[in-house]
Amino acid sequence: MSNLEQLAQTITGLSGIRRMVVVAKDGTRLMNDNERGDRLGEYVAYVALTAAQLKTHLGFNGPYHIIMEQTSGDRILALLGEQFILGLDLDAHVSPAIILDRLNPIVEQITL
Amino acid sequence: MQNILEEIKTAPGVLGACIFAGQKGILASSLPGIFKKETQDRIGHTLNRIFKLNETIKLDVNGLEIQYDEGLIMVKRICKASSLIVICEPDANIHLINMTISVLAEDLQNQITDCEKMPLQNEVRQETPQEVMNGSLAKELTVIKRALAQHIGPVAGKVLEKHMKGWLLQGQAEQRRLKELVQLLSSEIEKENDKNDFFAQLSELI
Repeated sequence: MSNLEQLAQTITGLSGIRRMVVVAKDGTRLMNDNERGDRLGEYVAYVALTAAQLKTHLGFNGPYHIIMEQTSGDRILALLGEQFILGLDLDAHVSPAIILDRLNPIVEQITL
Repeated sequence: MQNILEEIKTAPGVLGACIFAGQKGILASSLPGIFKKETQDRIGHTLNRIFKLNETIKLDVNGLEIQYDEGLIMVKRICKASSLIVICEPDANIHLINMTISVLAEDLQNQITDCEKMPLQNEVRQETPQEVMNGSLAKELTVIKRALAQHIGPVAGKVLEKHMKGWLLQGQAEQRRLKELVQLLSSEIEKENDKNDFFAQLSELI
């Protein structure tokens, strides 16, 4: 059984991840890698909520992950677990696909 | 514009695309009939809210990929008020579609009336040291100023402000760039031992 600490350890071992945050679906911060009061957690929670609203219009199930690309080429990756959202601030050179392959199986197993 | 959307639709795995322009709603669409105009409008408005957050959150997100079970939504901001929304099969080749979109985005921009060009990264207004000191890095900068004051005295505030101007010319005020600022400030400390102390004091921050 995976937990958030194990997830954080795995993330620490991956290169190109600048920041990470874990938030509940309502935006409550559950874990982050610094004490800075930045708004990455609130942002990914909002985008996840918006993507969830879309599925009613689309008739789709999910969403499962969201990639937000910035003008600089840097990306924010949000992985949506059953009970939480993992937000990662990635360097431009990092492939989100590799990060997803590595973290998705762990995120899917975690229950809070 | 319609021709371009039809061209995007020919990419493998693409179901169709539409252009959403703020208050004007959907300008053109090549999406299948199952996506009614009202539905496309709602999708456009909902996605547009994410881009509207940019200024509040100090990000410059201009593209989105949302993966669902049954499909993949790709959104590319064409200009401040307009976005290209592409709906694809769930396992579509993202790189190929992204390339297609990038090639055609400029043509689309030229065809959209009142399409105000997106500001490039280096055109984003530069913050002043005072704004940064009072912003999201206020706590960290106070710690840096105090550490600097221990080595150079009460002029630390002025020295910090001076170096912040140069620091801000090199990029935006972000946590990950604090190390660069601390390195600039360290040039103001004469003794090597004091410099090392200064870095050690701030090691957790940078």
